Amino acid sequence: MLRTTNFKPVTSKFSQFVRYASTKYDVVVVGGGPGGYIAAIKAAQLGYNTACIEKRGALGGTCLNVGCIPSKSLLNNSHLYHQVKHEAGIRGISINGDISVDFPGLMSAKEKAVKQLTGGIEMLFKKNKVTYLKGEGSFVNEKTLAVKPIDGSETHEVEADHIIVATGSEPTPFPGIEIDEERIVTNTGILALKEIPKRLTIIGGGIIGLEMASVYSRIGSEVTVIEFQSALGSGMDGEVAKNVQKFLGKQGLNFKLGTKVTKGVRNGEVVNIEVEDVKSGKKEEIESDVLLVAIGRRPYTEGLNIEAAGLEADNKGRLIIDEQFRTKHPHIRVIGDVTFGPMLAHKAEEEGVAAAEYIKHGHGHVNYGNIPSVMYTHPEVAWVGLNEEQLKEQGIKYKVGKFPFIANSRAKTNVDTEGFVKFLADAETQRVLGVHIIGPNAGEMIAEAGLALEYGASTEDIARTCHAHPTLSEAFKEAALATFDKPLNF
Amino acid sequence: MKAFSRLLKHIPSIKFVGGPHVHKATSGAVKPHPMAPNGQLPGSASGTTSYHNPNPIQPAEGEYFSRSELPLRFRYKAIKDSEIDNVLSGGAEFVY
Repeated sequence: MLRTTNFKPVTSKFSQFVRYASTKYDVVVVGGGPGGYIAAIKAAQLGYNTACIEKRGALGGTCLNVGCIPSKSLLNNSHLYHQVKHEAGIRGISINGDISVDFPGLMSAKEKAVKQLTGGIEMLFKKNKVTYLKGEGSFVNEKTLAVKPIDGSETHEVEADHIIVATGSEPTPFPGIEIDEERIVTNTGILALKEIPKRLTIIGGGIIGLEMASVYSRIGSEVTVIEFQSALGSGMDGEVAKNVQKFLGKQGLNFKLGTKVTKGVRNGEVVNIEVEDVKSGKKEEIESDVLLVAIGRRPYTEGLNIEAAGLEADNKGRLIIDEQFRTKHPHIRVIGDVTFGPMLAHKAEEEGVAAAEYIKHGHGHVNYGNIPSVMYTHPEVAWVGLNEEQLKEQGIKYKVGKFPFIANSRAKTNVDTEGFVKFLADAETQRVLGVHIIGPNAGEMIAEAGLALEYGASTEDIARTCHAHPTLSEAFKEAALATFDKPLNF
Repeated sequence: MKAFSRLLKHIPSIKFVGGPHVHKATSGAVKPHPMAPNGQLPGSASGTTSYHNPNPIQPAEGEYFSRSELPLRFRYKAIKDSEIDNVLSGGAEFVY
């Protein structure tokens, strides 16, 4: 219900922002990314005097600044461009004049979205009375952190009863390939190119690689994706991964699977890449304008001085914790990309809440069997729970139910019918074990699967739940139905 | 009203757990993290306290990866309260 009260600026309710209000806090969070900023807000909401140290100069971490958010802006806007350019005719829209990409405009739309969202977190800190320390935090000992402000002012120390480390991750470098973030780039550089490369080569057929391949292919680059494995999209259901390759291949992307990169060197304005077929050993040379290295990410603890606190890391650089995120010092907890588990923003957020709750109440909740993954290509790909390969490996008997978007009324009207919804359910109880979607709106639709998994729902529960018509989600319902009965519309 | 009372009699096949949830604090005993490979535990001597990333990515001289490393004039300007209000309100005149 709307209340017709006068609108008052939110910030008027809060005290003046003080940069360094105290040197002693109940909780100090190191890192202001999705895990860290959520942990700080939750800790403050639970009544703790909380500070968050962030050295980037903007909150939101990799996700907001050089990851999920800017890439989604480029993906959405490049998709709109591609649709207008190639599909206007079939949709009854005639265009008089040229359709072209304003690349600086595309980048500035992305920067605007990033700036608004990072600013939004600063406001949330003020609202929840979290002290934001803009600087680099490093351990002095297990109770004290030195903060080196990014404005060059004097380093000062903060003490805390509880410390949450959430310093995130950085791109894994490719041995022998020197990153210059101009011609040879990581996820940071690819989001800030000055011009559209005529030829873009990408090492890594994972989510980051395929999303960026989609963006630049749509706006005119000739894109080649090189993947060492024989299939794309690690973690995806095998059947879905094959369809990803088929659909993206149709869009003009070139794939070199089962291929290893042996060299990548910048020579002036081009990059020379040497590759080798893993099976046959056949060598090939590729010349490209830009090379994106997207072979994965690794934990980031640079400058944190974990030695001073005696924190331990495993052989992959992940800080070692127990099930309550505690290090060997119980008051120091670690969450997000810098420790175990998938490197996903929403996994870090869940852990941020749970870590704060463990401090306050002694309990917290993260279901690692129910962390969704989404790839924002077109069609989108989303999955949660176990895939067919994992079920076979674990010897679990299961049933498959599939429904194609070609038979879904909304997908038909949208002229967007590629893909399907696939359910994997326990053969005996019909309990949902995994859901894999490739198709329009997959990233949103997967939330329903997550809820079903969390409640231990059966496919019959979903099939008997009324879904609105005409919606894409009817495909979800029909796929659930197909695990134990016949689908109605296919 | 009659229809509404009929709705209340519906027995869902999904057994929702209801709320608010009452949690008991866990024992506090040290157990491995569910995603830890080989059940690694902190303080088990399986880790190292002197881990350094191999092949650290370093920018060339005079180049920076992070805007926060640049001189002040190149950094983002602090967002004013009024800008934040505008962003958050989306121009709305009503508060829900």
